[in-house]
Amino acid sequence: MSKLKLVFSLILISFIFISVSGCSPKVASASEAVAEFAQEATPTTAPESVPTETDQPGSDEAATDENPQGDGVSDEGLVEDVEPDYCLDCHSDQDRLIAVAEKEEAVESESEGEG
Amino acid sequence: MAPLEPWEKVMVDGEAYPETVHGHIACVDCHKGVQSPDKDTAHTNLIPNPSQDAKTYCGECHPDVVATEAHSLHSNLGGYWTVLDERSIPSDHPALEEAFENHCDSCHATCGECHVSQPNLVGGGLISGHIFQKEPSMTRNCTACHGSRVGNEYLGKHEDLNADVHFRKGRMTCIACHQEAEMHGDYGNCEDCHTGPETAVVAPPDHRYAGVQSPRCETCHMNVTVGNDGNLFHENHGGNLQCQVCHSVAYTSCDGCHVSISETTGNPKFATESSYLTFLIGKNPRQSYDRPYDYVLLRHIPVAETTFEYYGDGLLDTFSNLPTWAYTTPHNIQLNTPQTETCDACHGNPDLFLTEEKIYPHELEANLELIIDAIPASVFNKTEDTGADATP
Repeated sequence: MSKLKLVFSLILISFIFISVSGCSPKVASASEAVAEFAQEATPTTAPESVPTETDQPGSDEAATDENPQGDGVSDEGLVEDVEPDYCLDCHSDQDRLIAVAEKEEAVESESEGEG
Repeated sequence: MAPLEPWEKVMVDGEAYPETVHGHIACVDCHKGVQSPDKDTAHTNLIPNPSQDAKTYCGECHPDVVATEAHSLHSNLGGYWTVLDERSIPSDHPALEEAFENHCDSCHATCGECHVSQPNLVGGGLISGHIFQKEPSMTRNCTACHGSRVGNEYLGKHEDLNADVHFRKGRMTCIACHQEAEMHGDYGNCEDCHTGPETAVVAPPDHRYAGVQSPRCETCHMNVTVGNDGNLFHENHGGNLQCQVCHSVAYTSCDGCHVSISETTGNPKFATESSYLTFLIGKNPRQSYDRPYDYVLLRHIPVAETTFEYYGDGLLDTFSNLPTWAYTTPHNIQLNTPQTETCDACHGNPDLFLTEEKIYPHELEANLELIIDAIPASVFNKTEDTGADATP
């Protein structure tokens, strides 16, 4: 009986080992995908919609390279390391552009005839 | 083309652009400047048109395009110097270079002036919220510069003259014929297809009508090339007439362009004495393997012996080395034209041919070789004595 138990235990251990091995690549690709997303999201997203360090005080400790934020699962204790993009901010805001645009002097062409 | 407001010229599509491939590149990577909410600070050392340095800013991702860009006439403006060299002597070149810089250099087109903004020549301005266009816009890029002749002809803006059939019926835009390879200066190499012991490299063209004829009508209209489409005109005239001789209508010629710098504003300016519609057949001034036609359409080009006199006397010392009636390919192609109505539309009709009396006396020497020897005789009116040759 104890021999049977031993064989059963061995089979069970083997099964668990195979299952764990089979799953491990999936874990790796998921973290790659998260890293890719984080990399993609970093430079150009509009700052208003992105939480920043100042929005979430005290979250420095939680931010690590291994656990990049923005994966949509949980933002508790995470921080967005995204610089505000002032260029896009201003250049996509029609009212601001109109307000700061320098008037172009209408230059009347002094040329005559077909060009 | 309506001018853009200053804010419109720099308005970026904040939703769509970041989703594009180029939108993943930080603005300052290409335009420099500084990330700051203050406009003046942000614009410190700004590069408004990064593709002026295509190798640095476009070449990293588009190395194949940038590699041939230097051969593109849009980029190097080589055609201008080909004719200026011919009409002048080296001692005149410093003054001509100054004139060129003031009046001609602005025709240079960068990558961005075709793919993201309007050309600087017409004031610039983003076309589609900074979203890069694989295919340039016909009206906001191509005819923005090529408007007064090509654009007006192609779009049918001359009174009583139809738009080009390729646009009118086919809705074809410029890039249907003027494709990527031509625009990017990638003129190909014989050995790409004809592998063998021979070596033959196609030199980059130094003029718009140099080298391989591209585009070429026969690329699409293949049956016409072998003269087996049952068309008597094609059978009789096959390769000795440029296609446009029969399939174009009146097109623009210009006279007497003079350039100078305005005394009041200091801006470069020009004055063209006149422009008018013409239709004249003459001998082919650029006859070659690629343009074998004996007879072609000619237009009067605006250059004059005194075009650059503001910069010095006699700068075009060898003006008569090139004709003032130039090979032309009007962009107003029609299936049926006055010439296709009957043989005698051209035969026995002196109005359609470049003859001595149609050339300004002071330009006669430059154009002598283009004058038709004799008006082709009427085909139907055999009794009429025109004293003409029966060809073409």
